[in-house]
Amino acid sequence: MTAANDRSSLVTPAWLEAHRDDPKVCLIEVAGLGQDQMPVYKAGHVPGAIGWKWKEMLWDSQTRDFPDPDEFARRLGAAGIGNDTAVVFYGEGVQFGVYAWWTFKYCGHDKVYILDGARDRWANEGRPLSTEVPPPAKPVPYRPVARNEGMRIGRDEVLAALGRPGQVILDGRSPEEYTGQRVGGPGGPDVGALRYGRIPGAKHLFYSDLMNADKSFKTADEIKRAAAERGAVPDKNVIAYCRMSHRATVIYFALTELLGYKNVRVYDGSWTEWGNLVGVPVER
Amino acid sequence: MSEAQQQAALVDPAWLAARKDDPKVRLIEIAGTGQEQMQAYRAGHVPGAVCWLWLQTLWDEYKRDFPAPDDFARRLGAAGIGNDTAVVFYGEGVQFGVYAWWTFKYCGHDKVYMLDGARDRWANEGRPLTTDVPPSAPPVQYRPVARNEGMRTSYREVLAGLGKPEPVLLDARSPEEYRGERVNGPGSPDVGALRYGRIPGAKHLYFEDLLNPDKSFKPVAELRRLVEARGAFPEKDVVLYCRMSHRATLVYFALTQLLGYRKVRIYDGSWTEWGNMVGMPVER
Repeated sequence: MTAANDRSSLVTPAWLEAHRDDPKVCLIEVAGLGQDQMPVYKAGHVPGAIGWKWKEMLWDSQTRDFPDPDEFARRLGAAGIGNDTAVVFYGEGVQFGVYAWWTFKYCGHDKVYILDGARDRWANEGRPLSTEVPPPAKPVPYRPVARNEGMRIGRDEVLAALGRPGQVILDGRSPEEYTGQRVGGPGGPDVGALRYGRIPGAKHLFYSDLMNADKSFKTADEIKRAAAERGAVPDKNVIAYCRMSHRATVIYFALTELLGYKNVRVYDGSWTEWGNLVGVPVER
Repeated sequence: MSEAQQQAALVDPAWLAARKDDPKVRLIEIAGTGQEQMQAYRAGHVPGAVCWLWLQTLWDEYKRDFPAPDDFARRLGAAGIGNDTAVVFYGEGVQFGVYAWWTFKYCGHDKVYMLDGARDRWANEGRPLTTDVPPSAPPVQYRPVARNEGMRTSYREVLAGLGKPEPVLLDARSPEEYRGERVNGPGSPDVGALRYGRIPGAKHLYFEDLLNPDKSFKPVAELRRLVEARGAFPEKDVVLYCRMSHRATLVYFALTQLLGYRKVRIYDGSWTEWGNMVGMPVER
């Protein structure tokens, strides 16, 4: 077991396997961009996992925002998740599982975990995937809980933080996005923002550099070095962003859960907001 | 000649043909979205027209914004346009020409005109198109001028006005965009915003409905009827938007130049800003 796997929010395939019949554990695969028809989930998922589409489940139905506390409680209760249910996420792509973890934490559900390495590490360990879809869980009551507003930062605060000492902005996008050659993610169409570039002063930390080939997190030492090279040491205020903030939550998870940083926030507007905003500064 | 065509900022093909050798008149075709290779211009343009790519010439190089006064002056001087040069625009599509007209007015260049009906009316009148590209004009001095900030509004002001009797909000997008079924215009890929819908309370006035089939403006009486049917009366504050604000400027032109409205502003962020912003209310 690596140092990263000792962390409480990160669970290993072995841990999950040992808890597969635990009624207080709910396993969810989050279908990301390009997975609207859930082709990968249908082709084979970690046994016991249900499939969620990221936007339908994790965003408000109208505004670009997370569900408010009452709506969050309604959705979780309807999905058979109670306040004390342990929810384990993994994503396809991997960042969408981490985004769901972050969203649950932000929305106030504390018992939430990430399956290290998503389906990649699971399968690499020789564990079987399944095409069986679990029966829907019975609805339960869910008591609305308060958001953790400190996990998140808005556009005006980011603007006010520019150039301020003690602040480090990390950009989790691909090199092509960071350098302003593209606004779409790797392999996707080049769309999402009208302007190309980055938030002025942002340092580049491509999210996939925090992971091994099987999508598991690298060791804490390796992650610590990568963060420190960008000036993101524990006493700094760190802002993580990417294009829609999925990849930024991978950085958030690594810094807070694996390295113990306390002052990290996700700018969830990310480049799809900043790069479309009238009048904000852009660096290229 | 219709009433509309007698308005000072709108010139007709005959007016333009009579001035084709006037050194104080500059004719510019604006290549809009999908015209990045200036295909229409190369296939045949109104004689004497040079061609500009809209984004490269009408926006700041980095930010989503119009060029600052010094940059605007530098660009115009380099293009051989002086403070007293009469600039006539037409667009491919038509809305990009009006957007250039609006941008010049906003940036403080007063002698700016629209060719009614763009190349469509010109050709419909049996006038020839050409593939001759005019020689580039020698650079001149352009004295920086002040912007007309009253022509423009921001998301902050629009948000503050929601639910109030004024401003009257008019949405110039296609019916599909207004209803929240798409986030781009007809025939284009469905991209540009993460959320679908409209600014709450906005009335629908599709820009095409203001034009005849040859892209010339409809008669004033007809325009007046269309606009007043949406509650946009001359004494009201009116705010216009669409997806990027090109189509909105066409409505702006009709209201201010053909109907004499005085309190009209463009929300240039439009849906590509609003529909990507975190936390903004959306109606569907």
